[in-house]
Amino acid sequence: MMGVSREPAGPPSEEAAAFLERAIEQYGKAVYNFAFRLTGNEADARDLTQDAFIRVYRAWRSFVPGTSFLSWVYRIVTNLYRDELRRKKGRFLEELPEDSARQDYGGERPLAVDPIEDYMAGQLGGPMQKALEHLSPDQRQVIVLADIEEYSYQEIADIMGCSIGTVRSRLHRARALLRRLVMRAQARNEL
Amino acid sequence: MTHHSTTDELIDYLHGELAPAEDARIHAHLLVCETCRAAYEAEARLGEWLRGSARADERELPALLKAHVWETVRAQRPSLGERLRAALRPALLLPAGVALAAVAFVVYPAGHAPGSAPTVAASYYLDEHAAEGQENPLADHPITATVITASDTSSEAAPDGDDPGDHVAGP
Repeated sequence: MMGVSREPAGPPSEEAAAFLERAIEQYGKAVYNFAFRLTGNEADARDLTQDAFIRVYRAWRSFVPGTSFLSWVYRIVTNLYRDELRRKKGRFLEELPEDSARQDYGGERPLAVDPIEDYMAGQLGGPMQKALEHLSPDQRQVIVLADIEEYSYQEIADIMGCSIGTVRSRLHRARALLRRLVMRAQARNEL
Repeated sequence: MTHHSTTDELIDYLHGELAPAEDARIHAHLLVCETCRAAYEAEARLGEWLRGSARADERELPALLKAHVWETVRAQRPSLGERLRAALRPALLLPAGVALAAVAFVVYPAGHAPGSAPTVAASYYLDEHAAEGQENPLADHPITATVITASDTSSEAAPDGDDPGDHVAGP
């Protein structure tokens, strides 16, 4: 199990237990899927989700009523995931430079006819997960939050604990990389 | 005609993250620029592919996950704050309140209520404070001017018809 220490036994408080029960019932599946997108495998996603809900139980009083619970628990998942990566690798995977250099198509802007459209239409599920695995953890989180969960840049910045500029930069780079990956895979009929 | 949009601008436009003026400019440009519109649609398709893939690959919460969470939670010791709050539950507050009220009743009985303060005879007050005033030069209102003399007491006693000379030792 990731990052949560065990202590001597004691009964859970009634309020915290009710909070946890409701949190798992309502958001367990969403949190698990979010964890799965980040980790890319079920075993790590399961551990990450468990640890996140244990953290929810321990920190439930810090949740501000009226705010988004899902954003709050996603932040917990993100932090736990980052901690786990640090623990496993000694340092977080490659940090992207925080530049804001724009990407231009330049002379190669061949998208009037999209070569990857047909490929995308027939390839759902697994290929996307494979494509996400090519991204850095930060890029993967931004893509999942911005394009799958459809959070705003500000919400993503709050969840990830970074600036909007960083979110923007990571999203631009992640999308550029995804485009290249999908086009290459389409050309080779694999991903 | 405005300049072509960059891919980054189109991504921000797609996510609704541009300032209103910039958003309007790109919106107008996409209506007239086929190249930029194609680029925008490609970005939009990428987003749709990601969302569609995620929906197609949606996972159910593993059956035992919830049980494992509860198992771990029950194995954890509550924090100090939780233990304190548990000790101060309302069920304990009521008997504690009754006990405190009983103790307060014993320590501060009703006889100490302001309305039933003991009274002091006026003569006692004059005698004692006149003496104190004479001995205490720092008193705010020295009572030295009201030293009680034998004549004062004699005047008080006059109605009884006592002879003032009774109080004076005879030669």
